[in-house]
Amino acid sequence: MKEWKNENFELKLKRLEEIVSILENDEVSLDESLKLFEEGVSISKELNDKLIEVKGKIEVIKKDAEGKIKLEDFDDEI
Amino acid sequence: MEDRDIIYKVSELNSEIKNLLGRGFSSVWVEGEISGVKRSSLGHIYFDLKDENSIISAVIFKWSLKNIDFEPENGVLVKVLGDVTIYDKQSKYQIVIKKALSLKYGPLQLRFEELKKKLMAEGLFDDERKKKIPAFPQNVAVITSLYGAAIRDIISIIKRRAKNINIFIFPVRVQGDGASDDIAMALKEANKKKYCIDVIILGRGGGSMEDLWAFNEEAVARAIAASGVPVISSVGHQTDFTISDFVADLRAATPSAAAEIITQGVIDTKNRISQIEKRLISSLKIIYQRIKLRFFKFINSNFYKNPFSIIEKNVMEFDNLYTSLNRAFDSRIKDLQSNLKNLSDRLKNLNPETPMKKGYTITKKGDTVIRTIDDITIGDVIEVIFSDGSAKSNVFEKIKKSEHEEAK
Repeated sequence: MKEWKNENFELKLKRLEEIVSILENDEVSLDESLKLFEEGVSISKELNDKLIEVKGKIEVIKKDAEGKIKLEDFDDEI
Repeated sequence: MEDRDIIYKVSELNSEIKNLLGRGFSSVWVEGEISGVKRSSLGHIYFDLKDENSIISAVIFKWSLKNIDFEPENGVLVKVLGDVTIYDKQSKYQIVIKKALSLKYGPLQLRFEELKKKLMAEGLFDDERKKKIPAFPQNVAVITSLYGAAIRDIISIIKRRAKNINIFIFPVRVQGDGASDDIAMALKEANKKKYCIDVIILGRGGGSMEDLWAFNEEAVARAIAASGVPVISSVGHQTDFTISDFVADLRAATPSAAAEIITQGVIDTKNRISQIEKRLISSLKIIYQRIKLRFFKFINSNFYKNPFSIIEKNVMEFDNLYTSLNRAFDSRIKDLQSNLKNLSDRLKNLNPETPMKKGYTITKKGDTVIRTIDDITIGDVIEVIFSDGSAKSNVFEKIKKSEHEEAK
């Protein structure tokens, strides 16, 4: 099974939550908080891209006359 | 009627046929399986009676329902008494049922119950067999007809909710001859490693029990059970249950529901990320506010507005103190001086020589200072001491002040 949400994704999501909890609970300097914020925004963009921007493919698996399997792009107009 | 020259009007012909049917097929008994039950809003029940090869429309009018002691349901085998009649507006004939007897399930329903019993006994429906549906599938196989509503629904829901998912469509016939073989083959194909399928959605839209029958075939049930990839079965509507549903790892009420299930993980994660984003932004705002507040507290402080004010204040205080200290010191000195003068004045007056210089003398008899006339007697030698010398003299007269005079 190769689910798209691999370990790396989960780690990044955890890091994002960690950043937020540091910003929410610790007294961090403005410099430090800006650095963390930037990191957080870039991680969340990356995760969102993976969820939203990456477009999956749609394929139809068809058999030809000899019974051989071939892949065809799915025609959205079918 | 044997006269070939007779030309009927359509309604006349239908009327003739109606009479013919009425004469020949009034109060006939017929045996068949109920299928396609529809209830009209007026309370009449329409359905088909059928056997393996043939079918006839049937109706039970509301007023005849009292003669039927069972619930007319799809798959029920019945023996009915009725009149065959023609509904001439549609040129369709039907049997109007006056009485009906249930003969328990028809062959289809019977086969369903038998297969269900058999597979259940084999443990094919056991919960322990159910594979977990992956929360974040990358590759999804859809086994259904290319031409039904199900494929449209599934694709549009997956693309709307999680467009990063790859969809592999395995087109099959979903009803009629060969459908069950198609489905079983597609299940086998979708399990091939080259596709890396994470989950299979098997299904079709709604239909009659006959339409959905392929999903009740043993071949399909066996292929689902043999699938290493988790299978979600979604056949027909909420109320339709098929053997596929029981064997599959999960039953979804409809194909749309199946698409929602496999994309729920993405939806949840999207929500989780957007929640975190909101917290990220608001936490930075709070930090900025906090620092701004500290900054303004400083900006508004007296020290920032006039940093010398503290020094000025101190200088003035010192000045005041210094002046009052000096003043206090001066006055103390003056007090001391005047005290001193006072004391020395008083001291001066206490010196016995001072009155002697004015003419006062001290009179002694021996070593004793004479303070009263009674201390001396006539003939005594007394010494009169002046400031600058002394004289010895004899007393020859004593005059004491009278009491009276003294009192004055």
